[in-house]
Amino acid sequence: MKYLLWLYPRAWRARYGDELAELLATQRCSLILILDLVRGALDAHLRPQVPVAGANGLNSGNTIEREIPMRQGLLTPCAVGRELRVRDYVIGWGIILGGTVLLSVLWLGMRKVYGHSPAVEAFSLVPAPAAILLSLPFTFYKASSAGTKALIVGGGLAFLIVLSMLVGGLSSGL
Amino acid sequence: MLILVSLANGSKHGYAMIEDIAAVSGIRLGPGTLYGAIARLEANRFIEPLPSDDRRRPYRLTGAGAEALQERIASMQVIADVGRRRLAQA
Repeated sequence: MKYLLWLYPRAWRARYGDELAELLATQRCSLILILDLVRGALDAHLRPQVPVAGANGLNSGNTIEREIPMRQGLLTPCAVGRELRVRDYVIGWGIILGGTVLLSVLWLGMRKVYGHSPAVEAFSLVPAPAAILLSLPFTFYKASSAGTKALIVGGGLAFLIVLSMLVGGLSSGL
Repeated sequence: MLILVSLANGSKHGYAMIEDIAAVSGIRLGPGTLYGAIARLEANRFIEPLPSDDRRRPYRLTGAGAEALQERIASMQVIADVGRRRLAQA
């Protein structure tokens, strides 16, 4: 199960990885334990605590800087909103509009090749929200870490694809 | 809160905290949950790690942690008292 530690941010792993690995060695592998670690990793990405660059985190009792959720966590949009420049808005809107058009063209191409199957029709749900998701690292999440950006975009896209597949599956069953 | 209570009677490492919390409250924290909470409590200076030779690092309550625990217990005490009074009046 130690491989699940790689889901955690590098700084977090450097600070707590050994301890958590030691603790995991005493636990029996179970789905609940895996979910607990995945949730913990997500939490560490979204609400990061940043270790000070000390030898082993024991320097003068001042081991970790204060939590910085506003800058790097879920609330980043609130924190970074006023720091967005015109250029960021232009890039963001460019990605939203351009991405929607491109993905819509992709959808139309799929329709042409694969016909009007339920799965292809369900893909029509994807273009606009996917384009919005792709714009986030350049706008509201621009101050976030690469890990958070990947998590937001990757997780969002995965959710959209699974949702469209579910819709496709449901509508084909009707 | 559970971690602070667990550390109130002395330092403990992760596994000992899980066992202690399970014995006291019946809640068995997962390792991911435990270390997420430890990271936050440490960031808030409520607990601190102690030097250790092996990978199992013990933690102890700080003065700020003890104070925060006292406040929390006091506020829970107030709620419990109100609840008891209202139940007695009902």
